[in-house]
Amino acid sequence: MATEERTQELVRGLYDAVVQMDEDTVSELSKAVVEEGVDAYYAVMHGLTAAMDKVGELYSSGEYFVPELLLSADALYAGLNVLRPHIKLGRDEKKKQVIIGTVEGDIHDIGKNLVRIMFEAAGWVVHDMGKDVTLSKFVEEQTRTHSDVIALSALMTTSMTAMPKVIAMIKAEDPGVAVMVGGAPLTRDIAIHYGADGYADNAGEAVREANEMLERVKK
Amino acid sequence: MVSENNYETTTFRAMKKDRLTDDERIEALWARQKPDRVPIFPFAGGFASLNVGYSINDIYTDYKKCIDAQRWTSDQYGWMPATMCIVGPLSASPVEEFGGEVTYPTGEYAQAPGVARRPVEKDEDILNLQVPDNLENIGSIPLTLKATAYQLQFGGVVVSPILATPMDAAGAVVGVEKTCKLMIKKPELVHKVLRVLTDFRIAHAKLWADKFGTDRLVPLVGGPTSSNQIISPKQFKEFVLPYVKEMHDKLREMGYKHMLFHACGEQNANMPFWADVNMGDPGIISVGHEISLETVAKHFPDDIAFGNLEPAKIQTETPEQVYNASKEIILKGKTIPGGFIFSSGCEMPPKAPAYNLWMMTKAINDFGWY
Repeated sequence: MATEERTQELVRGLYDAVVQMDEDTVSELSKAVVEEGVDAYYAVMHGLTAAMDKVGELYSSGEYFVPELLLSADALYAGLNVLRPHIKLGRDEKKKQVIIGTVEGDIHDIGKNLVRIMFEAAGWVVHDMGKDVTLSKFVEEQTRTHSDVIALSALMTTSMTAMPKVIAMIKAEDPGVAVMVGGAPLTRDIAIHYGADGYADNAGEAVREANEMLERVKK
Repeated sequence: MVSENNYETTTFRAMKKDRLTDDERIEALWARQKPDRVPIFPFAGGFASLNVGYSINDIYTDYKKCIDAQRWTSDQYGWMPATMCIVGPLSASPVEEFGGEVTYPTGEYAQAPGVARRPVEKDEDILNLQVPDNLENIGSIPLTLKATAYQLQFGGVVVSPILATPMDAAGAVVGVEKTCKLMIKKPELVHKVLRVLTDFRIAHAKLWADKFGTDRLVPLVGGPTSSNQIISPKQFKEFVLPYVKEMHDKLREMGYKHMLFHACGEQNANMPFWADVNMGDPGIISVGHEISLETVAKHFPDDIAFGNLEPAKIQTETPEQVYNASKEIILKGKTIPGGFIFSSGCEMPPKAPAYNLWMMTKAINDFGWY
């Protein structure tokens, strides 16, 4: 069993390695977490997840760009692959779930992928539908998963016109689910006009917006 | 009576009479002289296609429909006579020329071609990339050659060939996410890709120059992968700037007089670098709403500013809002010393209300005269 000091050393190491995009170090430290009996859940939350929060901040503030965010995500996943099997089940509250996808007609998925990374880093269960997703598929996936949030992405002005339609379809089936939208041509005003509950300007803000949106929708 | 405050009181009959012909207006721009009024550029492939009863797919697969739709729509709206050679894979270029596959838009919500299979799947594939030697006969080149020959049958500005930056081409051939990761992990591989794709772009431009001469051709350059929504200014300086500088210098040597440079997306931090690239004499600097016209004037004092009405606004806002936003841009654009062409900041939304595009013309009529 590791000492408190050693635990903090490992967690701080994980945090720094994710922020510094150092996949190999994350793998090594994650193995050390397991071997030395450190609580894997604690290491994920305070090392990996906290680091991706920081990466999201750096991305939002223009210090990090897509290349850095993607490599930090690779480091994150390297750690999660080692630590996830060692997280004791039933210890925490029910995980929040999000369905995410780029709407029908749109083959652009970089922004969607970045948002997926941020949700996964924050511990959400992510149902990634991919790109060019037929509108009815979102409804079917919600019926199957009963997710808390549906996050829709569009990069083109043509594909964004699918959003009000799919939001109406989703809400007709499940009025309680919170729907957020994002993508280059979208704004908060357009999101509201389309019937969405939330809007994120970039991937770094997506999870915070989702949580705030859930609070608003619950009221 | 035309009111400057209430667009609803104006009618088509109230349009003011041009003092210059279309050709004279374009010549004035090239000569850095003030024309009679601000021209509007038809940055409107998908919209034009739907406008004349074709599909969005047609504009990327049928060269005559692609050019005719743009010509007819420009004529209808009183826009400058100009056509863009956007038939073919556009932002998915040059995937086909390097052995990959492209999908063309179908369905209610699709707008642009995409990549079905990339030529580069593994890092090692990059080492095998080379410029094809039978350029004239491969991929989408034969189709786009026909389109340009057809464009040249008509007057006005002929925007062709379409040459996205080598970095944008890498985004298509290798994939944007993979390219981004390699920029940090294996930068030498990215430079290898960019070397090949720069050579390809130069060969592409040379083929057009040899076939058609450069007198009337205006290459479209730029692209979104270089934007600061993807890469940092530092990465731009290393991976984009040297290659675009070389490409533009070679194009100028071939005789191309003017480049239509489209700074797609948020590129404010890149603008000082772009200013170091030869855009022509003068070049046309197209920016989105993310970049101000003042920024264009600052970095390109001798070039023509182009833009920058936000496309989504044209689609989602009311006619009055579009009219007022157009007015604001036109009044600002008229002060740009190098000249100004009014247009949307990126492609006009294919599904925008037609009346909103008419509002852009109306705003020119009311505020666009020098």
